[in-house]
Amino acid sequence: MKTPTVNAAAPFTRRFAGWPHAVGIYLLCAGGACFMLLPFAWLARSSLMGINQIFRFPPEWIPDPVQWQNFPDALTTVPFLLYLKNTLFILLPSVAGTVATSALAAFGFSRLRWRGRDLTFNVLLATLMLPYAITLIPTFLLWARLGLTNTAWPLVLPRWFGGGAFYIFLLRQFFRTIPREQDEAATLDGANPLEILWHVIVPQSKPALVAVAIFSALNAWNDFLGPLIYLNDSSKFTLALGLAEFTGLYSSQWHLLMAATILVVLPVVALFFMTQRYLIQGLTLTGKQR
Amino acid sequence: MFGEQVMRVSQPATAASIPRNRHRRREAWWGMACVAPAVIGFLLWQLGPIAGSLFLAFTDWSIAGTPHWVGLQNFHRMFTADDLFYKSLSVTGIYTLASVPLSMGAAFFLALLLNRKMPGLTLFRTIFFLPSVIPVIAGSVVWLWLFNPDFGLLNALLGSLGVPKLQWIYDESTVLPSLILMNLWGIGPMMVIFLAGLQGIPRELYEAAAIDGGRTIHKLWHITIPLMTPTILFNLILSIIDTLQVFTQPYVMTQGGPNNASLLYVLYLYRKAFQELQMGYASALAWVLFVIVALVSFLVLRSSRRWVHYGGGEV
Amino acid sequence: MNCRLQQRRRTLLTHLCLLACLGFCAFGPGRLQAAGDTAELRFTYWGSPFEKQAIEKAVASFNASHPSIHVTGQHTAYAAYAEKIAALVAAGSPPDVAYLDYAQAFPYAANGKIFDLASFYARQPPDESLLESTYYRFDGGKKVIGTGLATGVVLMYYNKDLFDRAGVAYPPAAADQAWTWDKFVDAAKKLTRDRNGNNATNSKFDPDKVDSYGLSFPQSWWGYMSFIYSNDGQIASEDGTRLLLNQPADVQVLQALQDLIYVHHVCPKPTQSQNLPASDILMQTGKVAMGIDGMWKVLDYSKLHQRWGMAALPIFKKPVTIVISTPKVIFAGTKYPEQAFEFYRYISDPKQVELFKEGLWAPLEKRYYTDPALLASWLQGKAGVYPAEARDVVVDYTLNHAAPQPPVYWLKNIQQIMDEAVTPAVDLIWSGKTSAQDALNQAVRKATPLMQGRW
Repeated sequence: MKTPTVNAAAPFTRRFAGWPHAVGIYLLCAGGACFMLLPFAWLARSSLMGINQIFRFPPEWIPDPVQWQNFPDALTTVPFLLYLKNTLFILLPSVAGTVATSALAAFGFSRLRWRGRDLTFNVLLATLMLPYAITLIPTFLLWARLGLTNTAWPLVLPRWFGGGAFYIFLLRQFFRTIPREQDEAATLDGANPLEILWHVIVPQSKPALVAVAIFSALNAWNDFLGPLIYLNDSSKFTLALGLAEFTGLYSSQWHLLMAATILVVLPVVALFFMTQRYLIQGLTLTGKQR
Repeated sequence: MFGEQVMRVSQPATAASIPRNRHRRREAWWGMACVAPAVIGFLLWQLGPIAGSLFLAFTDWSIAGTPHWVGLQNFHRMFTADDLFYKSLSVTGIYTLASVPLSMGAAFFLALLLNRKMPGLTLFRTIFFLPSVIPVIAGSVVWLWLFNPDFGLLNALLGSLGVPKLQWIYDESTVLPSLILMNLWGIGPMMVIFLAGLQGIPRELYEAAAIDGGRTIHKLWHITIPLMTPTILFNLILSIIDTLQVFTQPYVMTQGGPNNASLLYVLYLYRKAFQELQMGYASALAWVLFVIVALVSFLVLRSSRRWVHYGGGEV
Repeated sequence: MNCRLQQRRRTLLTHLCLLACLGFCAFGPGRLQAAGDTAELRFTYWGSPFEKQAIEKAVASFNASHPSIHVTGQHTAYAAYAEKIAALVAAGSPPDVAYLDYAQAFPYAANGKIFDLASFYARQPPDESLLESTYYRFDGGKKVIGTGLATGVVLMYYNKDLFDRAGVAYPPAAADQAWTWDKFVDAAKKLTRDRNGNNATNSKFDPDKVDSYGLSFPQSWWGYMSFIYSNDGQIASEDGTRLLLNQPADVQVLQALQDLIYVHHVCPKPTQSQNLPASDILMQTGKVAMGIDGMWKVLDYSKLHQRWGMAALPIFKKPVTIVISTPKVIFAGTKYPEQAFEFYRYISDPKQVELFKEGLWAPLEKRYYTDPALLASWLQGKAGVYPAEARDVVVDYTLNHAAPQPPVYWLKNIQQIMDEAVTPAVDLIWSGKTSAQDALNQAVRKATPLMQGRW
C-alpha cells in the first residue's frame, strides 16, 4: 500500500499557486476520494438493489432493476420518524451541553492559573484510558439506583458536565495557542474571565468549536451501546438502535439494512457538508482584516 | 456563528498596577468555577464506576454472583498462566505502532491538501470525512464483503490489475494489515482536527517567510509543523488511547481470528467479561491496560515539553 | 496563608456536598414495581426486523388471549445482547423470559439466576414432550434451565442451475440414500470450474483461477461436528473432562474437509463471521453449487430467485445431522413463574408464531413432526417456503438421524474451550498450513487445563 507522507505535501502551499499545482491537488484529491468512496459506493448501490443482486459476482454496479422500494420498506420496517425524533431529543441537548461545558472547562484548564490545575486535567484525561467494557456495568448500576434507566437522562446529563475529556482536551489545545497578551489586555479593560472566553477566545476558536459540535453530534447520532443499555422501550429507541435491528443472528435483510444506512448517514453528511466551511473560516477572517 | 468579532483590545498597562495577590486568587476561583461542571460530572458518574472496577479486579465476580476477594490472584494468573494475555498484548502493540503513525500521517497530509480556498475542495472535505460517519454495523457488513477473498470487491479490483488473490482478514499474516488499512478510511475526524489547527496559523508568518525567500518545504518544516505541534500532540495522545482500545472492528469482523492473529486486547477483555462472565478477571485485564495507556500517555506528555510550542506561552 | 486555609475549607465543603450527592445516588429510591392484578412480564429477545414483527405479533395475541398476564417484549440487537443482559442481571432487574446464548445461560444458572423448569416439564403430558436434544439439563440432569426457542438441523442446500450446467444429478434428500463422501467429492469436483471452463476432474483445471465452486461450508463448529458424528467420532468424553477431537475419527473428518480446499480445490476457504457470508449469500453470487447450512436458512433461500433444493448431508459411516437450538430461559427473579411458563411455551408454539411456517424455526415438540395435521400446519403453512424434499431433510432428519445433544450445550467452560483451544486450531486447519492431526493435537493440549466436566 502506498503511504502518503507528510513530506509529499511539500510542493503545495496554502495559497493558490498557479494551475500546475491546482491540477496536482485535484488529482491527489480525486485519487484519495476514490479510495475513500469505495465502501460508500458499495453501500449506495446495494441500497437500490434487490436481495438477489447485491452479492452477485463479479460485482455489479448498476442496480437492475433499480429497487426504490427498499427505501419506503426500510422506513416502514422500523418507525423511522419516531426514532429520528428520539435521536434528536437526545442529540440536540447533548451537543449544546458538550460545546458549552467543554469550552468552559477547557478555558479553565488553559487560560486561568490555579493550584492543582494540571493534576485535575490529567485525572480527567485518564478517564479515557479505561475500556468502556469495564465501567459499563458499574455505571449502569449507578443510574439504576437513581431510577433513571429507561430514560434519556444517562445519555444527556453527563454531556452537561464537561461533555467528556476528549472535547476538553481538544479545546484546551486550541485555546493554548492564542496569545496570552490578549487576555491580559482584556482583563485590564475590566473584562471578567467569562467575557474573555466569549469575546476573545471563542471568536478565534470557531474551527475547533465547530469540530467539537460535529463530533459530539456524530457521536450522539451513531451511539449504539449507550441507548441499547439504558433504553428498554422500543418507543424510546434511537436511529442507531433501529439500524441494528436490521441484522439478526441467523437471518438479515441486507438490502433494507443498506437502504436504512443510507437514510441514517445522509443527514450527517449533509450537516457536515454545510458546516465544514466553518472549519476554514480563519482564512476568510484574516483576509477581511487586511 | 459564535457572536461578535474579535474584541478590540487596548494597550496593555503595567502588570504592577493590579494588586497581584487578589488578582491571582480571583483567577484561581474563576478557574475552578469553569472546570466545576466537568469535575462534578467526573465525581458523580465516573469516579464511582472506576473505583468499583478497581475493586472488582481483586475479586472473582461473575456478574451473576457476589464478588469474593481473591487478592492478587487475577494478576498472578494473567502474568504466569495466560498465553493469550501476552498474545493480545503483542497484537495490540503491533497494531498501535503501525496504525497511529500511518493514520496521523495520512490525516495531516489530507488536511494540508484541503486547507485552501479552491473551488471543489468543500466536496472533497466531505468525501474524506464520509467513511467515518457510516455506522459500525452497516460499515462492517460492507467491509466483510469488500474483504471477501473469493467474492469480494477488493480482490475483484486487484484481480483486474493482475494482482494475485489476497486473503485479507482471513489469513494470519494479512489480517492486521487489513484492519490497519481499514482504519485509514476512518481518518476523517483526525483530518478535521488538523484542519482546525491549520486555521490557527497566522497568515503573516507565511508571508514573512515568502519575503525571506522560504521554499515550501522550508515553510512546512519551520512554520507549519512547529505551530501545529499542539494539535499533533492532541491527535497523537488520543489516537494512542483509542488504538490501544480498539474493539468494534475485530469483534464484528474477525472475532480475534484467524488463530488469534487479530486478538486485540479489549476484544480479549470483552470475551472474558461478557462471554465467559469472568468480570473480575476482565477488570484486572482492564487495569493492566490502563496502566500501560497511562504510562505511554505520560511519557508522550512529558516529552511534549520539548517539542510542543504553544502560541499562548507556557501557562 | 489565611486565604489558602479558607480556600481549603471551602474545597472541603464542596467535597462534602458532592459526597452527599453520591450517597443519594447510592441509596436513593429504587425503581417502583408496578402492582396490580395482572402479572407483568418482561421478555427480552433478538432478531432481524422480520423476526421482530413476528414476535411482536405473537406477544400481542398472547396479551389479548390472556387478560391476567401482560407481556412487554424488549427487542435488543444481538451485537450487544450479552452486555444488556449482564447489566440487567447485575442491577437485579433481569427480564422474566429471555433468549440467552448457551455460553451464558449455564454460568447464570450456576449462580442461581435461572428458574428450574424441571417440575413444569414433569407435569406436561407425555405426548407433548420435546425433542430430547432441546432440553438444557443442569445439575447432572436433575434440573432443566431452559429449552430451545426452536430447532434447526444442519443440512445441504444446492443450486439446481449449476447442477444442470455440470450435468450432475441432484443430491438425494432421503438420509438413507445420502451421498457417500467419495461420491460427494466427485460431484463437487464436477461442479467446480475454472475460468477456462474446465472442471476440477480435468487435468487442465487451474486451481488458482476458479470461477465457480462446488461447495461452501461454514467456519462455525456446527459446520463440521455433524460429520464427526457421522464418522462415529466423539467431541468430548461423556463426563466432560476430556476433549476427544484428536481421535482418529475426528481427525479423518477435519482432514477430509481441509482436503476439499487444498487438495480437491472445490471449496473456498471458510470465512469466519456470524453473519457474512452465509450460504444463501454465497449462492446469490451464483458461484457456489452446494452450501452446508442450517435449516433456518430456508427463510432466506425461499426469497432467492435461484432454483434451489435441499439435500441430506454426505455421510462418512452413517447419516447423521445435529440439532442446533438457542436456549430461552425464565429468570429466577420472576414474580410469576406460572404465568412466565405459560408465555414461555406460547412463544415457541408453531400455532402462534409465524416463524415456523416462514422457514426460520422448526418445532420443539415431537408431535409436530409425527402428527400429519400438526406437521402440515407449519411445513405447508405457507406456499413456496419449504420445498417438497423438506419432509425428508427437515422432518425425517430431525426425528431419526439427529446426533445426541452436542457437547457445546453441556460442557462447562465451553466458551473458553472454544475460543482458546478449538477455534484457533480449526483456523489453522482451514489455513492449510497445519495438518488436521497436528492442529487437533494442539487443540486437545490447550483444552486439557480448561476442561471442567459437564453441567
